[in-house]
Order: sequence, then C-alpha cells, then structure tokens
Amino acid sequence: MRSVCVQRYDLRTERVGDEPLKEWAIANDVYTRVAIDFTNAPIRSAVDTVVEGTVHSFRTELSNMEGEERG
Amino acid sequence: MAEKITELTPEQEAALEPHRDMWLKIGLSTDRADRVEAEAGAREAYTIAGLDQPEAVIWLDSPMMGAIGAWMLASSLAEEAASGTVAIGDRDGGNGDCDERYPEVWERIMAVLAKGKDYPTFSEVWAGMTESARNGAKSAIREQVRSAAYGQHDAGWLSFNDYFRVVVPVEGTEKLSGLIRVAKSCGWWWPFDRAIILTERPTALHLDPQQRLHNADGPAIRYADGFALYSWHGTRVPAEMIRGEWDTTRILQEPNAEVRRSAIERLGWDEFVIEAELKQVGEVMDDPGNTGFTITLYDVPAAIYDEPVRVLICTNGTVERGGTRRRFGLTTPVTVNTPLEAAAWGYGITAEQYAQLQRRA
Repeated sequence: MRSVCVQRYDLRTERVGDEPLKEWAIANDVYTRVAIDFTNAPIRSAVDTVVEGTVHSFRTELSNMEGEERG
Repeated sequence: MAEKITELTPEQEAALEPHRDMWLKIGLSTDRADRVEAEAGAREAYTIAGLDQPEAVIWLDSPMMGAIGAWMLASSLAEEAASGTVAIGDRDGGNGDCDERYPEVWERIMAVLAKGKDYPTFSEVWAGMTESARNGAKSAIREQVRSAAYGQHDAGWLSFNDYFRVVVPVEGTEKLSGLIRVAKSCGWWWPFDRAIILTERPTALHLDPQQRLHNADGPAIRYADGFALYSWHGTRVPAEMIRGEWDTTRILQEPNAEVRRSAIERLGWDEFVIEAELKQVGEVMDDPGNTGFTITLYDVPAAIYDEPVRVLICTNGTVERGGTRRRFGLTTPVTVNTPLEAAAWGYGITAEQYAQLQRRA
C-alpha cells in the first residue's frame, strides 16, 4: 500500500502556492506578533518536547530491540 | 485576492491567549480519541488534498503500534495476506525473533482488511519472510516515523495557522480544516492510498512546573499498549533509573552526563555523596540564609560532570507540600573553598554578604 501526502500545500512552512503566507496575506509585523504568542508560548515548548521525546523513545526502543535480537 | 492584513483588531488580539491555551490543551490531551470526528477529519483531509477516499480505517493504541502497522501496510504484507497471495512458512519455525507486538497489530489490521475472510497468522507470515526482510523490519518500522502525521502533536504549527483560519481569517488556511479536526481528536496517524491508520492519545502525560517532561514515579508519557517514555525534568532517561534500580556504580558508569546528573538527583545528593565517597571540602557550616539548616561542600570527580566541579549540599528554603524540605546539590566551580563561598557564589554575592543574610526568601 502506498503512503500518501494529505497536505499538498505547504502551510507547515507557511507557504501557499509559491509565496509564504506572510508575503501574500499577512503583513510581517502581524505575522510576527502572532508568531511570538504561539511560537514562544508553551505550545511549542511543551508539545514539541512531547513529540521529540516520543520520537526519541520510539527510536531508542527499536534500537534496543535490535540489539537484543542481535545478541 | 483578499486584502493583505496589516493589523489585528482588539478582538483578534484578545483571542490570541485563549486560542493558544486551547491548542496547548489539545496538544497535551490524554482523553480517549474521538474516533468519529478523527475519521471524518482524516477523510476531509483526503478530499482537500484531491485524493480518493481510503476504503479502510484502522485504529491502534500508540505511535509504536501505528508505525508497526504502517510497516505492515507499506510492505504490502497485509494486503497480500488479505488477498491470499502472501508467502507463508511453518508457524513453528523462524518466528523466535518476532516482536511480541507484531501479532497484535496484525490482528487489528487484518480484522479490517480481510473483511471476514480467512487470513494467515502473523507467525505464519513472519516465517514466510526472508531472513533479510525479517532483519530489516525494525529499520523499516523506524522509517515510518517520517511519514507519520502527528495528530494532536502537530499543535505547534497547526495552532498558529488555525488562529489565522478561525480568528482573522486568512484565505488559504481553510485547507487545513481536515488536519485540524484530526489533531483535535486523536494522536499520530498514517495516511495510505487505500487505508488510514489512526492512533489513540497517551493515557498519561506528566510535566514539571517548567513544562518539561517529568515523572519521578513512572513514565512521563504512557500509552494504552505500554509504549512509554521516561523523563527526569526534561532529560530522557532509562526506565530502570526512574524505578530506582540504579546504584552509585551504575550511575558512574552512565556515559551520558545529563542522564548521570539526573540519576544523582533521583537517588538524592545526600545519599550519593556517601555512597560515592565524595571528599568533603572544609567544615559543615550553618546556613546563614536558611536558619536551622547546614551546608556542606564536596569535591566531585570529573568522571561525573565531565569537568572538575564541587557540589554544595543544602536544604531548600521552601517547605514542600508534604511538610518536608528538599535537600539538593548545587554545583559550583572548584575555585570556591568553603560552603559559605559556594552558597554566596550561587547568589552572585560575596561570602561576607551571604553571611549577613537572615533567611532566604
């Protein structure tokens, strides 16, 4: 079965089509004002920590299992 | 094209904080998934992306189970098993190195894909795989992390765009509607052309007051299938350390300095300085900043901190909720020679100034 991308536009990097969101829709200072509230806020610091931790734990656990199997 | 937004209205400004807090709650939620809403959101995401609707929706308990399931779909094992074309082997041979989670994930997937028809057990499929394929399974599963959507854990970037979608709103951001519905409803997910794997949120998540992953008594993150993450004030540590199974010898053998320090804190500095036989520097002194308690300075071997330091063992000025006071270690440069100098260094004042303190705030 083939993995698919459900996000064919790229808002993750704040781009829609060829231009960044802030270039075509939002003035830079407004963009920055909102970004400060969201980027510097606990959402990123807390939730992204959870993501990083989960990914790390995931890889560690798989590596450990591989090690056990090799052993 | 709509006019460029050059300022936020007072109402939009006022909506920033509640919108941010709402997304923080979404990102850290441990509620059971809203499966109906998650599936509807995923289907909407397919539609918005111009993709055909998938036939099957498979629910699993954790990112780990999800990645195992994604491997079973991506490798075509599950589809071939459903269509009766997969190679099978002797169920009693060759499955000794099969992870215990594979059969459970297999059953969940096949219950959906086989649509009531007979299908081989995972042991039979595993035994029918080449040794190379079996050896590569873990790497293939690990790779599935790259193709995952993080659901609730995409809050970091979805929240920002959702603000512009809902509160402002900005043209173009409506394309995120399906992804946002999924994020509000469940955990990690994997979209395939003919199936979707969706997973549950964690059943427990613990942070310290600084919003770092932390649990002194168990996993900081735990999922229903047992997949878990252990963390000490943001430092990821082995489960055995949190369970208190590390003695001083094991702590000193730990190659990672952050983990080593965390393990010392977990054990307690008072106990560690005795068991590790740290050399005391100077006399035990009354703490001028914390009346009724003492401060003691010790040399710390470079093997512990990767550089020579000293540690001041002192007592927290604040009483804990249980009525006790926490003893802790404050590392200092080796240039301080007395407990008083060390305590003063911690406050950025001279030893003479510290000696004049009545009690810490």
